[in-house]
Amino acid sequence: MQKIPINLAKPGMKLARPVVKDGGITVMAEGMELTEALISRLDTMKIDKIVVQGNPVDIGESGGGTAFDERLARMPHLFRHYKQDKWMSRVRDRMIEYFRFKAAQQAARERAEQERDELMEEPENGETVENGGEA
Amino acid sequence: MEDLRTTVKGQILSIQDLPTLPGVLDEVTKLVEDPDASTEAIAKVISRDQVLSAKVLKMVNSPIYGFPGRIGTIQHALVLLGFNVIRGIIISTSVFDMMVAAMKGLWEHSLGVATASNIVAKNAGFEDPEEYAVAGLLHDLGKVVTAVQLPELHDTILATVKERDITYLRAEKAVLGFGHDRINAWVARHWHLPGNIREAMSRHHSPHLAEFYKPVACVVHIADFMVRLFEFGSSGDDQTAYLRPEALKELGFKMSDLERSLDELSEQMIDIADLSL
Repeated sequence: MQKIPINLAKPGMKLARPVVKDGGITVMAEGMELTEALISRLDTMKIDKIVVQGNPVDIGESGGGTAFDERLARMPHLFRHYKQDKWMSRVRDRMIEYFRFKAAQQAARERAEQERDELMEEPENGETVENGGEA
Repeated sequence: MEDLRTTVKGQILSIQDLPTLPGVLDEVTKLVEDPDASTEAIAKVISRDQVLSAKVLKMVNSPIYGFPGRIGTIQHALVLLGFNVIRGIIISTSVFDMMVAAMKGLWEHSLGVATASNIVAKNAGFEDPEEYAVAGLLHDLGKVVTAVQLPELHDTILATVKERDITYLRAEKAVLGFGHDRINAWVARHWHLPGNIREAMSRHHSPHLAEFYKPVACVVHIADFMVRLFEFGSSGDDQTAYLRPEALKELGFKMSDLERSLDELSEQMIDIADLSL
């Protein structure tokens, strides 16, 4: 999940948060995939930032990043002065375990989304599409 | 060395130089003490300062306080969040205002700790989590005061953190002779902040020593630890804070409660990432 300025939005990105105007009105729902038309509409509505899935843009800022694998890698550094402290070593190990789990979860979710996108992109293999997805 | 410390202390604690707060705050504080004053009257005084009002409304409508985008007037904010929270917001925005550019990282860190304090207080089952949030928002104000009052020594502290690879608090003690927790206690008293917020400000590094309002000191302590794990904003060093087991115990927090709070924080951080002053 990443917050990006609207001028870095690209078609194909998906909203991780609904887009809400100042008055509190939701103009686009979470999960929606951006198109050129939608992006220019957001622009005319004076929406300057959106939250998209994954980490598609390298903004070069640490603020608000939730890349759990990056957190995982930082733990030994953050706890570097407490190596001799039994309690803090336990806390560190627990946090490493926590971020490892979160990173795996995040990766699995992104993989699943990618697979779903690939399936949706190639519907023309035999089966009829019309009544295939009845709910 | 001792002489230097005494001088420094005097410089920091000299009342006349302390960052001045908006005039309306004094007026409002007097009104609050008057049992006959209505919320409406208090709101009117704050609303007179339009820049300040806009800042307060921006803050109260952030996800930190749980009413995103739904508070339209100062009076409404006062009713929903109470005077202590509004006053805390006025103080933090006013003090940080003098230092925005230089202290953007600390502002973000403070926003993060405010958010995390709200989450931890809720998960501990405390009422009025927004009171805890504002304590989190103010917890590092002493660092800003040093930067405003003693810019050269502030630079020395930052350099000491780098050179000796120690925490900001230890560097403060090495350079000034005392830390921002002490400065916090003093400014909190000077600005007549309520006891719970004062205690959280002065005891967030040592909540086990809090004599009064221990829970709020423990909440902010844990929140600070959480935000440092994410390195959201900058607290002045790149280290975790020592997590006091007593603080977890005080709140009846298990590691799983801490992790649940981290889950919620990681969800909310993105919404506060660009909340400028």
